This record gives sequence, C-alpha cells and structure tokens, in this order.
Amino acid sequence: MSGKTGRRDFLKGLVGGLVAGAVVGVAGTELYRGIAAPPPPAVKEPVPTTPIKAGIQAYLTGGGAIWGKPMMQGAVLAIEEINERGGILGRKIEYVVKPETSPEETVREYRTLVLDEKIDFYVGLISSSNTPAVGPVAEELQKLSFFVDGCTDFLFESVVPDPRFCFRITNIQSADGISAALGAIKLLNLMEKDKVRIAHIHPDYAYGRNAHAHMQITFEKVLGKDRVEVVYEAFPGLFKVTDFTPYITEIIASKPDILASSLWGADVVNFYKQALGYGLFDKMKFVSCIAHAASPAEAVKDFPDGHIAGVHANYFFLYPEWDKYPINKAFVENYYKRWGTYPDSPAEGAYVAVYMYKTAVEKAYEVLGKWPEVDDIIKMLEGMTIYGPAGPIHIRARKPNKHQCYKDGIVGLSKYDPRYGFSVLTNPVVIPISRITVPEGWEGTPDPKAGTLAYSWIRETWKEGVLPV
Amino acid sequence: MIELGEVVVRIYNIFFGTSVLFLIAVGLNLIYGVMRIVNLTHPAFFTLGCYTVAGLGVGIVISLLGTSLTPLLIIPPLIAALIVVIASLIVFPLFIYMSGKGDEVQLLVTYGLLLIFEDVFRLIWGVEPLRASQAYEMAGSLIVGEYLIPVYNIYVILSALILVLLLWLLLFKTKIGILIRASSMDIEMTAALGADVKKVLLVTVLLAGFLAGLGGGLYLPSASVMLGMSVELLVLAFVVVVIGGLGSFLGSFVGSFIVSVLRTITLMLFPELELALIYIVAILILTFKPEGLGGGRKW
Repeated sequence: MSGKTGRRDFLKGLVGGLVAGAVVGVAGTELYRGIAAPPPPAVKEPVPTTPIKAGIQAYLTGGGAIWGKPMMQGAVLAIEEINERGGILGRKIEYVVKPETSPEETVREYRTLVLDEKIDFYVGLISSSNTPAVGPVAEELQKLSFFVDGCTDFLFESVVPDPRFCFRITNIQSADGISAALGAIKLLNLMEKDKVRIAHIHPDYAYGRNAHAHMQITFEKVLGKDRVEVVYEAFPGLFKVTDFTPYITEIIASKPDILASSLWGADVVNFYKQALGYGLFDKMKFVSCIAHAASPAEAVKDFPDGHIAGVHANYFFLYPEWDKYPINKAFVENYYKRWGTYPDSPAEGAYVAVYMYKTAVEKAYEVLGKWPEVDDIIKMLEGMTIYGPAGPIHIRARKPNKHQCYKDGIVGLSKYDPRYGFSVLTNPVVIPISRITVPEGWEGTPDPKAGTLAYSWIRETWKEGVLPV
Repeated sequence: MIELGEVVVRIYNIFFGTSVLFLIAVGLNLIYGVMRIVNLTHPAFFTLGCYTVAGLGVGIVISLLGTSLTPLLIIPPLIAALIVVIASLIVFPLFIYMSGKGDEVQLLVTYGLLLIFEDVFRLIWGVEPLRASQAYEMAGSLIVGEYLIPVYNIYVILSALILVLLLWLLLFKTKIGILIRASSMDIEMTAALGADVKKVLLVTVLLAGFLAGLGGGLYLPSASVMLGMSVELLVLAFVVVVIGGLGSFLGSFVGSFIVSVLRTITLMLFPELELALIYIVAILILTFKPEGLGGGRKW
C-alpha cells in the first residue's frame, strides 16, 4: 500500500468526525480545531457543581501489576492536574480504584463501579482477556468506558463490532507484532540478507499468539517467503515458567539469526537474565515487540545493548523528543515529580484517556451550551484527534475497528543509559500507523487462522519483498 | 545431528531443574509424611525465601561485606532460610490445629495462608518483580564446546546435592530423624512409646521451612521473584509429588528428575506440548500407579 492511499484513507475516516460535528484533527503535523456544527448558543446553562466520578480498574497484584500500577498512576496524574486547574468546566473529578483480575471477577468489579459507585466514566484494563468480557457489559450498562489496553483485534472486529460506549486507547494488537518486525528489518538491515533464520518465543495466550502471527507474516511478506526460515517456536505459559534454561538451550541449538519474542513482565526479566548466562545475546539478535513498554526501570534494568526494543507499538518516554514536543516533556516531568519514576506505555494511555474525556466534554459544552449527555460526549469523541504525550492520537469513527484509537508506533535499539540506570530505546524508528493497520471501510474478512483482519489485509494487499514504511 | 556441547548443556539443565524442584518438593513431602497435611502454603515459603534474598539478604551482605562473590553465594540463602524458619514458627500452631482435622479444613487453611503470604509480599515488597542477580553475574559462565553455561547453576546443583546428603544423614542417622520417620509411619504408636511427638512435629515444620527458604534463596539469583509465584509453584510442586509419590523422600527426587527430563525432551522435540505432557504423565501415574514412581516407599 502506498503512502498516498494511506493518508487518504486516514482522512476519509476523519470526514466521519466532521459530520458528527466533532473536533477534527489530521494525522501528521497540523491540527484543525474547526467545528462543523451550528454556532454555539449565546446563553449557556449553568454547569452542575457536583464532582464528576471516574472509575479506574487496574492490575494491582500478580504478574500484570507492572502494567497496572503505572496505568493507575497515569490516570490519577491526569485527574490531579485537571483538578488543580479547576476541574472540567469547574467540576472536580473524584475517582474510585478497583482491581483488574480474571475476566469474571473483573466484570463483577466493573458492574460495582457502574451500579454502586455510579461513576460518570471509566478508565481501565490491561489484559486482552478482559476487554472482550467487559466490552459487552459497558454497552449493556451504557457507560462511557476507555479501555487503556487489552488491545486484542477481536474486541472491535467481532465481540463489539459496532460500539457506542467503549473506546480503546492503545494501538491495536496486530500493530504490535507488525511494527516490531518492520523495526527489526530496518534497524538490523535484514533486507540485505539472503536468508533469515527466525526462532520464536511467546507467551501462550491470545496476545503471544497474535504477536507471533503478525511478526511472522510481516517477515514473510517484506523479506519474501523463501528467505525466511523458522527454526524453533515455543509458547511458555504466561507467568508460569521461571526457569527458562531449557528453552534458552533449544533456541541456541537451533542457530537462529533473530529471536522474535513477545514475552513481557516477569517472563522477559527471567528470560533475558538467564539467557545472558548462556551467552544467547552474542549469538543472535533479540527482537522484542514489548519488553521496553512497561516499567522499564524494573523490566529491562540491565538488558543487553543493540537488540530490538519494542514498546507495544505505543510510547517510550524519550520520544517524541522533549525539546521538539513540549507536551511530552511536561508529562514526563510531572509524572516523575508525582510518582518518582518515568512514565511508560500504560501510564501514557491512561493519562490520554482522561484528557480525551475532558476535551470531548468541553467541546460538547461549547456547541450545546450545557453539560453534555453521554451521547453528546460520544459524538465529540468519534473522529476526534488530540495531542497526547506520545503525539497525535485519533479515534476512529467507522468500522472496522470503530472506537479504536490510532497513533504512530515506535521501535528502536536497546541501550543501557547511565543517566536513567536502565536500558532505554535509542535509534527510534517511527512506524506510521496508517501504513500498518487495516484502513477505515476495508471490507475483508478476518484470516481464519490468525483470526484478525490485519492478517488478511497484509496477506492480500502488501507486495512481497517491499518495505511498506 | 546433535553436538556434544548441546547434550552436555541439556543434561546440565536437567540437573539444575531437578535441584530446584527437589528443594520445593521435599519439604512438602516431609510435612505430608509426618502430619498428613497437604501443605498448600509450602510454595509460599519458597517464594518468601526468594523475596528475602532479593529484598533483604543481598542488600545486607553488600552493605556489610561489599560486593564479593563468596559471601553473596553463602549468606543470603542462609538469611532466607532463617526468615522462613521464623515464619514457619509463627504458623506452627495452625498446623497443630489442623492435624487430624478433615481434608477440607486443611485445604482451606493452608491455601488461605498462601494467599495471605502473597498479600504480605505485596505489602512489603510491592508489585514489581524483584531480583538480585549479583552472584549469578559475578560467577560468570563456563565454555562447553560452542555453548556457555552459567557457573551459578552449578553452585545450586552442588548445594542441592549436599542438602540431600545432609538430609539423609539427619533422617537416617540421628535420633530425631528416626523419630520423624517413626511418626510418619505411625504417629500414635510413636507417641505411645514415649516420644515427644509435638517436638517431632515442630522439627518437621521448621525443617520443611528451612529447606524451602534455602531453596528459594539459592534459586533467586538465577531468576526473579514476583507476586503470584507461589500459586504457579504450587501446581508444579504437586505434579512432582504426584509423579514421585506423596510423602516420600526418594519420591521427591524421582518426581523432580522425571519432570525435568520431560521438560527438556518436550522442549527439544515438540515445545508446544511442554506442560500438557507433564500433566498427562501425572494423570497416567495417578491412574495406574497412584503411590507414585518413588516405589511407594515411605522414605
């Protein structure tokens, strides 16, 4: 797919937002704040003085907590910043935090937030097992809900294909594997090699399978099927293995050029530490789509240099560069001041979610002249683009993947940085999101094996042997 | 076409896996053998050992003695063992309360304790995975053909071997060992013969705690510890115990060895089947040889 059509498709999506009378943004560098609705009413009704109530739901324990804790911190920081500046149209935000756990339990806590706590809006969820469980409940209870992650393609492709009340901030899951593979091809000059031997290790659940499928098809399409040889594949259970040594030995024995991986959290920590002792990193390049995405200070403290550092196709706090993009600088500084650590992908996502709500409410108020109903807020959100710390983020208004947010992905090389005391992402490569995700209005069917539209879209529309970015 | 280096590394991995699993399973079997309590809390003691090393032990050693290898190898696991022995002492009255009660009471109490321990870990050490890999890194790696193997893992294997030997001496050559074995065979008769059974029970619980703490302490530098680890280890420990035979010293070793061999073989040939195969073997053994492969021997 050429760059031109990508941009046109993106703009086409934005027209929907215009019609809905929303704030309209354009991917790239410009932002138009025009409103294609009747002029704002002269007389405005008074805004209620009661506080707004936000519900936050995050992993606070277990292997997912290194994602859940920063997510909660990002949301709380945004709420505190807004309250300090007088709230939303003068209304302060209060918040309640509930734990994210298994899907069943998570849904129960979600219902408690909506029915007992009577929240006005919701920010939460990390796991791709939980968004498909909570999504239909959000629609049933008609509660405006921002899912921070839980980015499985299935949510808006099959579970809730025409959502009204739920939105999702983090880039769609297929983009994760695709951007890591493209980043690896570019940064490791794989186009120049005659043959690339690939080993895979991924956690054995929806996310790991998704990352595996999309990394693999990207390598096959871009490098050409004949040049890619899969030499080993393993799927250890998520957070079920602490001794990875048998895997490490088999991976080394299969002599790959690259090891593609979506291990995350404690799994990636255990894996790379043990792999260091076996000399794995001297024998191949590690291509991770996610290792640097959450709590890098803990997760990749002494990660080896020169391997592909993936951030879940979302955000690393050093980019966009602070001097060129003050929104990110301010976010990083405020986050560090409040929490004593640097923000990461889940923190940025939750932070943006709260600001999306604020922006939509304020814009709707401008148009309506009164505190908006939930449907008015949704109309504003659909097709909206705002500038978050990671750059512009756009909410899709039409199928497929209606209510999914899109922002450019980023991949780089790992390098230990003594200023921070942990491994950071360097040599950033920006992967334009419009080139790697299914465009609005695309009418294909999900690939039967991988289960996603993105997989079919790549298979059907990408040219073999051509880098799409 | 398998290179010699590969074979050596795989065998080495099997010994390492066996050592770690044995250190978890042996305490579980000790307590079951003597008290007939299926102690679901046991893996939390192993995890506590890991947390103690990562969150306390290594810090103490480095601040007192600097970052040098020998003290880092020896002292943190002993601190971990000590802390876990203290924790075992605190929960010991519950074990006395449970012994002789129904299975459901034991399961509820021991599993409840495991969850409580997990929450205590969260309160003290937070939600991030913790590690303290100084010893693992300083010990370096050995070159075997084209392969590297971490020296630290050899230390774990040797420590486990020494522990097996000491444990055998304790159980078979000392008076308290004889009493422990006697209690596991017939606790009423042992009491009737005038032995202080309560003391035997106390020693058993503390010994199991000591082994779990030491095991966790030895293991941690090669991995990391995180919340929820107790629950994952629980499942694995039970597979080991089912395969080897519940309540048997020899069974702990046999079970650990078989699980490690199965892991290595499945990951080599059909990695997708790793856990499935281990469970299938466990099910087959439960069906056809429920006393386990340890020969059904008590010790």
